Amino acid sequence: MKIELYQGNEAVAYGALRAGVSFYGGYPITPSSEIAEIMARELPKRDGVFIQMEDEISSLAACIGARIAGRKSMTATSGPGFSLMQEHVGYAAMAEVPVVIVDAMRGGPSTGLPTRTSQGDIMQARWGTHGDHAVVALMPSTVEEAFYLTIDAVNISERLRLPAVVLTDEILSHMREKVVVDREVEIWEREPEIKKGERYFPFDDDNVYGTGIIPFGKGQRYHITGLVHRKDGFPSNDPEVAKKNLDRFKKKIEDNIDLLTDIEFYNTDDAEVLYVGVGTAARAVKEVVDVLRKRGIKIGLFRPKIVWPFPGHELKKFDGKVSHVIVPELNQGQLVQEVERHFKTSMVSRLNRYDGELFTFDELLNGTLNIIKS
Amino acid sequence: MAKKKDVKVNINYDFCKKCEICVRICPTNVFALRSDGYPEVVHEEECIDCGLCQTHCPDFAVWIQHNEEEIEHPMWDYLRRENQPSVWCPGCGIGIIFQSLLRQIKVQGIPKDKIAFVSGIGCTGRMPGYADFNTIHTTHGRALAFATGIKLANPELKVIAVLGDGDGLAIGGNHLIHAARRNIDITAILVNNFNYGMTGGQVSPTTPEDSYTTTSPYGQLEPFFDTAKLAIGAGANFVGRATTYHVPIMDKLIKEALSTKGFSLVEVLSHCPTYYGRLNHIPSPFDMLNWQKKMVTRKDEEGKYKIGVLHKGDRVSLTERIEELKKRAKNGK
Repeated sequence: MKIELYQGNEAVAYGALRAGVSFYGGYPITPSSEIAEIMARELPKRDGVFIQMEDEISSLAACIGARIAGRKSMTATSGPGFSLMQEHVGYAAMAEVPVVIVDAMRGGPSTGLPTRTSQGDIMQARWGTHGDHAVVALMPSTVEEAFYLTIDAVNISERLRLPAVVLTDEILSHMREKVVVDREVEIWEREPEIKKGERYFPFDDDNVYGTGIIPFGKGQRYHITGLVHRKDGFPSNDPEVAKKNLDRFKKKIEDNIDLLTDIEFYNTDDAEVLYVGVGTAARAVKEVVDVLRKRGIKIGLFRPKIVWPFPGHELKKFDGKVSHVIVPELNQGQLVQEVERHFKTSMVSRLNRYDGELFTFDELLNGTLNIIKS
Repeated sequence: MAKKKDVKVNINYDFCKKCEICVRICPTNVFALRSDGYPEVVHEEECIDCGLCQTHCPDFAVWIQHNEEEIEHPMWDYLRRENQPSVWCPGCGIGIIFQSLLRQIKVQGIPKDKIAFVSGIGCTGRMPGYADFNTIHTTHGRALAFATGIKLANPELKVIAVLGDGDGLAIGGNHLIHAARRNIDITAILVNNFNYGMTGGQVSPTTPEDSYTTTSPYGQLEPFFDTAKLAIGAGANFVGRATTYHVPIMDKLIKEALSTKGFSLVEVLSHCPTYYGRLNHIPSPFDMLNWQKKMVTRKDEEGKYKIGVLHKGDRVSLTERIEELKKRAKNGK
């Protein structure tokens, strides 16, 4: 067993390298900058390419360009940069180009609290760019998870040809924990095989997911656009084509919901009270669960590691089985809006902190007891 | 003028948009206008094979045939013909630039599979869709940012980016100066038609002072960008300027740009008859070509656009430097 003591940002960078990322285009921003620094140092040694672009817009653009030219690509940023990247999150979704974006969340809006933590970008990760689109977002809770979920993000984005977002936060980015780095992982790599004389349709329904893409320069001279397009990639205004185009995005999520469901169930089997928590906010929750269990309260934690698509199909099984659902978040209540719609009978409450600090144990404990008592 | 060769002048009526450039540009009146607005070859025997009709046809509809093999337009194999006719208005200058680019690619024998052709948004942004290369139509202003990623990821690709004036200098101005500063191996062709065509003729960073657009109804108050000076100042290795009238100059510049190591930029002053021309009282495509003649100079003349090669540098390109860095990094230096 090989163990490293990694900082969250290191775990993300080394996870990406393990997943085969060989291009990084980025722009410095607290608290994500160490990821760029590590990539700048490590990529050239491994035949990879690092470039610091002129802003976050061009960073993601360069990553998409590099992926089309054959390299797995990643960028990392924080809220203000993630806002700028939204233009190309949409482009990657529309053009179905795999790319990974790490958003080390900090307090917002705007410049906000650069050196403090937050989970304020949960909704932005899902709906930050305009239009209906497919996107996947993963939320690690520990440094080791940051390592392996980054690998998952690369694999998922490659497999489903969509942008994948890893949502870390300032605390996770800068904390150090033990990481077992040599666990077995599958690295997903595939390119469609085109028989001689056959034409490649990169946007054909047989090519929605599980096929990979053929990069530029390999003899398939196809077209990519951010416009609504036909299966050959050329733009169209036909309503039927437009619907089909958008249906593809929905289908790639719906058809792969098992692949996109990754949940930690912590003491949920007999739970009467259920936390739904994600990322670093869920860390203290576990401790509270342990203490309340000792006091005889049947409480558990439902923790999606993949937050988008939100695993409503799993969560709604708890409707009626638990009396209370509590959603602790480091924002004014984003995930709770998604949680609420999956419960018809159980009562959903929220616990929020948005001053840049993590929940304390007492705060969670007392907040929970108040909710249960009422 | 005497007839030079035994040639045939062809018109592809499926592609023709009735812009009349061929009819009016021909020095020997080979063409006449039919009552339905289409050109017709009436005096083939007068043709002197000057090529003006062919090089100035924005829609690849007119070509001069010299032998039995030339039954199609010389650029036929480089076009995605199923997508013709293009979205561009009749007589638009973009097609003339597009043809010049394809011609130089053909002359240089660059394999189609090795070309990555990148564009942003706007009328010019539609160009890659019509070319039989690896093509990507990106977001507004960001073509060079995508192109940078493509070139760095696979240096074997010949990366060509086409930009509009709003696209390349307003929303994408930052990417243009940084691509030039990095001196990355990309050839950029900036189609400057002095306004935003796709959205209805609004003012752009290159609109000449006092001229009219739909958002400068009282005349443009702001000074315009000198694209070439900007690119030279930022560090490009090759910078040149031509117009859609001066096709031989454009051909020469594009040829040189394509063989430049490092960043090369060719600005082509183009004509938008639909908006800029109409709003500034030069509505016909052919009149706009003549108007360009008066706007430019080959010397240094105040108030005119200088055309030709404007700058040649010899800075080492980023592409070369990165390859060198990889070797150093592997040796731990």
